[in-house]
Amino acid sequence: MDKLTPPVSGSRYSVIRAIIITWMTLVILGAFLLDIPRMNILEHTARNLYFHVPMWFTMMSMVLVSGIYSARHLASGSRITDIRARESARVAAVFGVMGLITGILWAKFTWYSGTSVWWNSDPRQSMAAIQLLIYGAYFFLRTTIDDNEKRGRIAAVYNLIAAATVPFLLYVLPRQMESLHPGADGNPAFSEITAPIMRAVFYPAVIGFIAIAWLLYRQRVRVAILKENLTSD
Amino acid sequence: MEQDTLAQATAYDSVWANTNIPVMEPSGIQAVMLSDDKILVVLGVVLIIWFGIVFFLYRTDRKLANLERTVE
Repeated sequence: MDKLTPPVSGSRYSVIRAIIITWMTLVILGAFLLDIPRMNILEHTARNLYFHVPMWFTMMSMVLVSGIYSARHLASGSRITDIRARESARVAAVFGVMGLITGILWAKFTWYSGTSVWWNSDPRQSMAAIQLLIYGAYFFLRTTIDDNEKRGRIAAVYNLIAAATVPFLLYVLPRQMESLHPGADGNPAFSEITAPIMRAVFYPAVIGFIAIAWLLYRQRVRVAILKENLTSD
Repeated sequence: MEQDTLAQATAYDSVWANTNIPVMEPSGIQAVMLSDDKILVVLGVVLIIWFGIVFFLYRTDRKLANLERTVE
């Protein structure tokens, strides 16, 4: 089989990596050091906006990347698109898990403050958990098929269906139901409760975390290509 | 105490102003996490993300190590 070409990691890549790390360092400093308007119940946890919410933005952007590569894999059948779809889904799942766990911790000391509750099956959290199980099944599905071509095709079809559920499970449905999460039916939305100073950190944080995810994803693709080239001789 | 909190409320706060503030004295982990205006909750969230990224790097590292063994 033909050798796969890994992405070029020259000086341009080194510069981009350095920019991402510097950018993220500034975001973390801004997240902790800038004064924010005081909000009842939330107090300083309002700063979690810079960390918890970008997890889901990052998850969704990696899902989008994964879906695109799955569609391309169905069209072309090339090995590299299957690898890229798999690795971006993996990064998406990791950020989804971090989003869910950070959400549980945040909810514990705001929504459920003063109680002994950690998990109350809030629709927002339940939908997110279901979403992660859907992606868990994707990786399990991959392990059950031995033939490369067959696995690539079936996984791509499943991945497209999984990606199609994301907007509904993470966006549409939780907004229709009674949830404590901001943005749900009757709750204040982002635009109403977010001060300009917080937006100045939040948007760079979203960009920064997506960039970090891209670094992790790219590393994985390089390793996977190396593995393909070494084991397919 | 409640008066105090309301006096410090900002414009962004109004939507929450009428919600019930728990009055039970927190204890144990609650007391720790709720102290200093809950800043430790933010620390917890940052640590979760930090360990998530470290976990991922660790897995990538292990894959590389396996490949290195294949090459040898």
